[in-house]
Amino acid sequence: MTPEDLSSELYSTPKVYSDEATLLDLYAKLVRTHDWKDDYLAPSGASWPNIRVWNGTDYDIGYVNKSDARVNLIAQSPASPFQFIIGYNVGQEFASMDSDYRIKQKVNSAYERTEETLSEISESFDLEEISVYRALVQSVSSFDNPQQRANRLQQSISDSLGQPKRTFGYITYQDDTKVGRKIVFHDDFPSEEEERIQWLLNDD
Amino acid sequence: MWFGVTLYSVETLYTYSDNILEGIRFVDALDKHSDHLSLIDEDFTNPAEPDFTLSSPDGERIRLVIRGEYRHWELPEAVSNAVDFIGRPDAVVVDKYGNQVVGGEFTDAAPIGNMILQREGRQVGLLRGGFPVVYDTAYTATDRSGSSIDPRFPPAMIVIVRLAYCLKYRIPAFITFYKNTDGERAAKEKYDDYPPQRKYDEGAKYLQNYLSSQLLNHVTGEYQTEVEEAQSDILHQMIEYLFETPVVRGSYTNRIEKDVPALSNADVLTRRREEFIDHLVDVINGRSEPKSEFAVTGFDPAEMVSWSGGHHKRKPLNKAVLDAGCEPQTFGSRQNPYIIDTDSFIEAVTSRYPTLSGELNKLDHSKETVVITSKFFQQRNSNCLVKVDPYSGSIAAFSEWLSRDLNNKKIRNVVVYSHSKCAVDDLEHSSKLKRSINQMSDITPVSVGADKTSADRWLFL
Repeated sequence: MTPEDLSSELYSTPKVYSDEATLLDLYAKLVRTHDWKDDYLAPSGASWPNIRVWNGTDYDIGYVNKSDARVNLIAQSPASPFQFIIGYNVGQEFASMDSDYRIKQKVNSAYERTEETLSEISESFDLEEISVYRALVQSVSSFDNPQQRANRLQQSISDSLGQPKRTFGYITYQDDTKVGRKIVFHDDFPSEEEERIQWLLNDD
Repeated sequence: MWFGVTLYSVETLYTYSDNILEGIRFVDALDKHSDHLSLIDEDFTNPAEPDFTLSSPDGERIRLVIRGEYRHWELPEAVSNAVDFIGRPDAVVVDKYGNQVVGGEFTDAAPIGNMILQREGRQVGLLRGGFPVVYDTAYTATDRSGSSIDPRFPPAMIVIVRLAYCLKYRIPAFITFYKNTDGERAAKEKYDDYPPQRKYDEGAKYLQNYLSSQLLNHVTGEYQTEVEEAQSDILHQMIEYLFETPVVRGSYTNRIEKDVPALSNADVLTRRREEFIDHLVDVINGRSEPKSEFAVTGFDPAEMVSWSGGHHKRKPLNKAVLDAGCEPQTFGSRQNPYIIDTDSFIEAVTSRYPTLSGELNKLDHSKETVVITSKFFQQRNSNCLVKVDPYSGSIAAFSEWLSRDLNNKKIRNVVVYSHSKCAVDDLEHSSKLKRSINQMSDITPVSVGADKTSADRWLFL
C-alpha cells in the first residue's frame, strides 16, 4: 500500500458539505462552549439514542421508537428556567419545502412527536417557565449563495412551513478556508430572546 | 529534553466514521474512561472536521481529527477496503499516512434476537482490512415488540466468534460489555437470580485503556505493556461472560452449554483459561502462530445436534434435504445454519430440483457444506422489498466461523439459501447484502413460491 498524505487537500476537503456539519456546529456552540446538556443528538441516518431531559440533578430518560418521527438535536440549558433548542436538519428537502405540503407535515410531526416524548418522560419539560425554540438547520454548499438561502429559509419559516414564532434558521457555509454562519428568525420571534440566541450562537 | 521537560511532537491520527457524532463519542469516551489519554483541547472551527488534542500523563500528545460520514470524504485505501467490504463500521482510525490503527462498533443496542449478527459484516471487513476491532455493547437489551418490556441477553456465539477471529486473523477482535440501565432493570424484575456477579464498570475502562494505549503505541512505539494488559483484561471479561449461568431456558450452568454445546476444546476456556489468554495475547501481538491445542474454532462431531430448522425446515431446499433422509447437523439447539455432506446435499436437492444440478455441482465435493437460511425478500402489495439486515451480517459471521479453520483456510462450502413469495433477480452491487453474498457465499440459490413449501422458480444471486 502506498503511503498517503491525509493532510493534503485531496483528503482534507469534504466532497459534500452536509447538514451534519451545521448540526454539529450548533451542538458545539451550545453543548461544548456553553455547557448546555445534550439531551439528544442523532445526525440523519444515524442510529437513534435514548432521549433524555435534564431535571436539574439528573437525567430523566425515555425511549425513541425506530418508527417515530425524529428531530436531530435537543440541547437544554443547564439551569432552571430551562431553555430547549430543538434542531432539525432541513437537508435535501429545502428545494421543495415551499411547494410540497408534506415537508411541512414532516417537520411538524417530528417536532410534535418529540415534544410529546419529552413531556412524557420528564416534569421538567412541563414547567410553565420553560422556553422551547425550534432550529431549522441547513448547510450551504460552495455552489450556492448563503444570503439567498438564508433569506429563503427565513421566509419559509414564517410562511410556507408555518412554524411557531420561537423558530429560527441556522445556516453554515464554507467561506474560503473558514466557516461562515447565518442565523435568521421568524418574523414574530420575541426580540429580547433573539438577542439571547444571537449571543449563544455567535463566535464573540 | 529541555530544562528537564521532555518535548513531544504532536502526532495526528484521523478517525473516519459513519457520522461525525460517532467520532466525537469516540473521543469523549477516551477522555472519560481511559487511564492513558485525556482531552486537553478541542477545535470546532471547521465543523465538518472537528479536531481534538489528547495527552498522556507523561505528556505525549495525539491530535485526533474527525471526518464524519465516509461518503463525504476521499478515503484512504485501508479505510476504503474495510468499509466497502460489506458494511460501514462506526469508526475507523488511521495514521497520517493511512495506515491501520483500530476500528470498531460502539452501540447502545445489544446483539439480541434477529439482530445478533447484524453488525458482523462490517467487523469482518475491518479484520480483512487489517484493523484491530472492538465492539462495545451492553450486557442486556429490552425487547419492546410485545405488550411487556422483556430483557434479552447476547448469546455465547457473539463472544466465541471473536475468540476465533483472534486466532484466525492474528488480530485483536474484542467485545466489551457495559451496563444498560433499562435492560438491567427489566432483567432484575423478571429473574430472581439476576444479576450475576459482574464487574459492571470495568468494561468501559478495559476498552478505553486498550484503545488509548493502542493509539499511543502506534504513534510512539511504546505502551506495549499497557496494550497487552488491556487486551488481557478484555479477554478475561469476554470469557467470564461465557461462563455466567444463564437465567433463561433450562438449567444450563453456562452460556456455552446453552448456546454452543458442540464447541470443541471448550476446556481450555475453563481449566486452562490463563494459558489460553496468554496464548491469544501472544498470537494477536505477533509472537506466536495459533496452536491447535488452543483452537476454539471447531466442533466436536459427537456433540453436534440434529438441525431442527424451526420454520426454515419447510422451505423447498431444506425440505428436499430432510425428505431425502439426510440428517444435517448444527452446533446447538435452534440454530440457523446446518452442516451437511456435500454429495448427500446435492443428491437430495437435485433429485427434486434437477435444474439446480449445474450450480450445485460447482461446490467442492471434498468439503462439507454449510447451509445458511435467510429471507432476503418480502412481498408488500405490488412491491418486492429487499431485506438487507440482518442477513449481510449473519452470512458473514456464519461463513467466517463455520467455513474456515484455525489457519483461516476454507474447510467448508457456504450455501446461502432464501425462499420467499417474490425475488429481485439483480441486487444492486452497492447493496451490503449483495457484497456479503459475493464475499462470503459460494452459491446463493433463491426459491420463489406462493406458499412456504413450494418453489415456482429458482434463481441464483
